[in-house]
Amino acid sequence: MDIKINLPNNDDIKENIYALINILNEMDSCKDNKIILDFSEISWMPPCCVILISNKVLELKKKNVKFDWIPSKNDKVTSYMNKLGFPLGSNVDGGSYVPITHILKDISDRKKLGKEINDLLNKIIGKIPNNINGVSYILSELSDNIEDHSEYNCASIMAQYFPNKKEVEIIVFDNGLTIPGVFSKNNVSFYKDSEAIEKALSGEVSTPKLYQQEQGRGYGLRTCRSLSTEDFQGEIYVFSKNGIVISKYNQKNVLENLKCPLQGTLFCVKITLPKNEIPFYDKVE
Amino acid sequence: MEKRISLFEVFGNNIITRNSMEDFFEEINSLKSNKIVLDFKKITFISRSCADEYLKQRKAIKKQIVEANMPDNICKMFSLVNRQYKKEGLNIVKIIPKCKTNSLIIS
Repeated sequence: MDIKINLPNNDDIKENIYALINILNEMDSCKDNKIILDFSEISWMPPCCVILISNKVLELKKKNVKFDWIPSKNDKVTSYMNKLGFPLGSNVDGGSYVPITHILKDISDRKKLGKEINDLLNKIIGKIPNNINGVSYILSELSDNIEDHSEYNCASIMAQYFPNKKEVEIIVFDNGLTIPGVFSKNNVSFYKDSEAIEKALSGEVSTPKLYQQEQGRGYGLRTCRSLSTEDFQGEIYVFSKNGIVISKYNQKNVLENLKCPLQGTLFCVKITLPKNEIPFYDKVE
Repeated sequence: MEKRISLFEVFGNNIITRNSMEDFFEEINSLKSNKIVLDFKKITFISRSCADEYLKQRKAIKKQIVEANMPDNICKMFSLVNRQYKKEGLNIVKIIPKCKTNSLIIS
């Protein structure tokens, strides 16, 4: 089965994910035992799309679906995808990129996720000039969130540092229950999926509280968003099932809902490193 | 009998994920030694969730735990978690991170 990759060829994360969900569904519905993804007309490939396709390829490979791809005619796009370790991720550290790392759930070794994140964290902090603890905090909270709540099979993580813009981009995806899915499972009422995401991000409802686990938990997403958008003056995109929440520095949160669901939860965080260290240990609520 | 454990050897330089901390305390609980010295040397970062889990597990374990060589920013993370406990009025554990002495005082 040949699948043409049609994306908007721009860097708008929302537009790209909207378009990509249809492609992922097409991949899912493939009844052949081989998929060929055709990237030939792609002139711009956002990393969040690369990570989602890569995660899906891995999932389908585990179902014995063979995979091949036709690279973009644009050499820069192909080179970029190679640097990110497309299609199946890579442990090779490259330039300012930390390639995609896939983490398959292993219930016999619960330290595995931590060890993988440890390696990834060391790679990214080796590239950034300052605010190592703040960046580590965001990445570790998003990782802990996967482990605590999502009942994932495969989590995919990547990070990137843009030295000229002093920007860090962190992308985390898991193919688990999704935030609205967890809420539904626990009989938490919400009107639309985006509202469920906002409740999770604001800390109004947190999964630990849902599961009536001990107190002192449930700070993860709330502090992650405030640190990313206020202290680092950046932005955070959260896609989960049919919902999207976009939070940006000095802007109102945007809540939208998709027609077709994303089978999982995607966090894209973009932050700008200030010249000085943010005293985040004192600032985080 | 005292046993000294290098956290760097167990976790690497970053201590991440709550479950890994829970498993670690299960392991030290099964040790014969009654006094465990947890050496934080070379640890550069502990996640907030892990610090929270550490404090809860440390409170619950029936062994004497002593921290050694705790770096300043690790101590600050414990202080941050402690601040969150206080803010929520939680009666989980009373902790005084002592950065200058590289240790925690728990009552």
